[in-house]
Amino acid sequence: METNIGKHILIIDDDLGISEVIKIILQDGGYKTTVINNGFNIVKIVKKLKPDLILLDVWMSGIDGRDVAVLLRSEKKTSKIPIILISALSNTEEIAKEINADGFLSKPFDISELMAIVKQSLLF
Amino acid sequence: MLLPNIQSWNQNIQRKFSIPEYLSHSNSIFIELSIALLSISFILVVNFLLKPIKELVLSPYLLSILPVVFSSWYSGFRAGFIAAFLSALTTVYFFINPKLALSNISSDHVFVGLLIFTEGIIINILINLQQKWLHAADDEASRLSEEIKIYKTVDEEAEKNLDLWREDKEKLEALNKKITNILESITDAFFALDNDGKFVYYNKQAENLLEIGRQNIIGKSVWDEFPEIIDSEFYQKYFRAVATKEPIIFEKYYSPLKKYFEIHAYPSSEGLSVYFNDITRRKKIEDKLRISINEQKQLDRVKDEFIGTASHELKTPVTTIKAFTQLLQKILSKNDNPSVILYLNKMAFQVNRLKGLINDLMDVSKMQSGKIEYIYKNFEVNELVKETTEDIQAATSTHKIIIEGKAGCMFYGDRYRIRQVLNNIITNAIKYSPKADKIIIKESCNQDEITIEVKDFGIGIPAQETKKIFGKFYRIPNKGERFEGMGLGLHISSEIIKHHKGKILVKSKEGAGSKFVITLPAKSKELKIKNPDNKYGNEYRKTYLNN
Repeated sequence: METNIGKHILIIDDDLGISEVIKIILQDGGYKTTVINNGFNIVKIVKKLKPDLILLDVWMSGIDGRDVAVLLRSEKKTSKIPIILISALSNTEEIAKEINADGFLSKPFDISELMAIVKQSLLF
Repeated sequence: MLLPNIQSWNQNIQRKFSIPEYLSHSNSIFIELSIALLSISFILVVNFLLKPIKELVLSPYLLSILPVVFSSWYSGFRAGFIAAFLSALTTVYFFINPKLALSNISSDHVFVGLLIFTEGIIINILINLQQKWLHAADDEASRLSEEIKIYKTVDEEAEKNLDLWREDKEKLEALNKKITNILESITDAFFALDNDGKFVYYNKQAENLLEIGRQNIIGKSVWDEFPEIIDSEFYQKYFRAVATKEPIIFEKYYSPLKKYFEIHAYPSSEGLSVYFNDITRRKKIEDKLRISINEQKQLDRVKDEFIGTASHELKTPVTTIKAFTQLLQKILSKNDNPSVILYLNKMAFQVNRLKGLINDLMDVSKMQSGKIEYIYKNFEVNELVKETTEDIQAATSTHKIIIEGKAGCMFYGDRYRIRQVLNNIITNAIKYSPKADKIIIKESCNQDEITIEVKDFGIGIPAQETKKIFGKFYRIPNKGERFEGMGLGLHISSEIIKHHKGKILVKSKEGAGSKFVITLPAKSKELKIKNPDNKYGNEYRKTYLNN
């Protein structure tokens, strides 16, 4: 697990509270994080940041996380980056399948659940 | 009558003048010659016998005619001819002077011979003519007799047929009356159209419904009387029924009368029989119901949307609070002040309660829209009961949870959801028995089913309420005590058990506690697996119940 330490995780969530707490938890776990509170120009940003993992919210103001995922999957340089869907929607699992995400996390989640899924996603 | 008289007359003639069969109308010249010779011989003998007086009473000329008459009558013209010739010859030979002198034939001989011969021939012709006339009359009489027989037969047949026809007519009239009575007494309106679309029957109910008397419609065309239906659905259905010879049933709004009709059209070779009735009232009720159902659906949709949105919006801050609480617990775990840890634990407990309530709301929302997903796998029931009980016991100091028996069998279902049910039932048992100190769980398993019973010694459920407790947002009527919760736990539990083809029942007595009995099918491996290859699995899905 030590090999994951220092990996770069991009958090895309419009809720400042959640994005901040995720950032703290992950940094506490030894990860490097970047937070984006909207999905605009996402491909350009991702291309530039080259994160190892993306934590993506679904229901954001102004943009749908599903569209963001589709855009990222359609670009060659970003298509291989694993995406974990994080949502408070009742059908998070369905949406994750629909956009071919690598995993999902339903809100509210435990710190342990967040850490487990992040570690697991970074293994591949 | 003329014809029978002719016949009888003819029969009399035949009886009087009948001759032996072998003689009558024979074509044999030998017989004819024989008759002529016999008759001539006979007359000659008579002539000689009567010789002493004949000159007084008879002439040989007169007697010479008799063989001709006899021969002609019995053997026809040729025999008569021969007899006339022989009669002339014998008369001349035997009775004309000089008698018996062939060598001295005088002109007297020739004259008398020719005279007798001519006379014989004339008589012969007359007799033959008469005979021919008699035969013709006989033939005509026979023909007429045959015709009479035929007429009589035909007459008898006609009489019989007339009787049958009268009988059939009476039967038909009786049947027709019966059918008419039926058609007039039925509650349906009825009319019959012939193949030209003309009304041939129209009952009283039809008069009432269509508001036209039968005297104004019988014999008239449906298209003339109801021109507005041309090119309408009725028009199309009418022709389809007639063309396919198959009955058609349909409902139609008839705008001139502002009525809805249910129409049954039965085609036949005679035309079309149409039964119909007024369904306007039913239609109006249906419309109202439809509107009501649509409104209800609309309300349900709005409610679901509200629950979904509210859950999402509530979860977002809860996620943050929960995460920060956990972070604080981690950071302050080694704090010397015990109150800090206690308060943080209480905070974490309340956050989890809130999370549970929100999850219940979301589950109900998902159940309503049929979007809840079950992940099936084999698990040991006994282990699940033990694990759930231990987790609840760890958080409960007021009650002792006792497990009796052991369900030593596997169940194929969604472990997470079954645990959710057990958790709901056991926590309810604790919640609703504040004055008791124990909960008894009994588990058993046989070939057919797995049974889990949860018994408490609490406030119980009033008898009239037991059927309602699995409904949404149900709360036991408040009797001074206040129990937390939204009334969704039992509803969700019931839905989950139903999904696993199981049953959940309650036996309760007010003031004496309740017993919830969950039964699940033991052969649940045969249940259809909704999502057998979920790559997401439930390794990411951890129960919130143990938090």
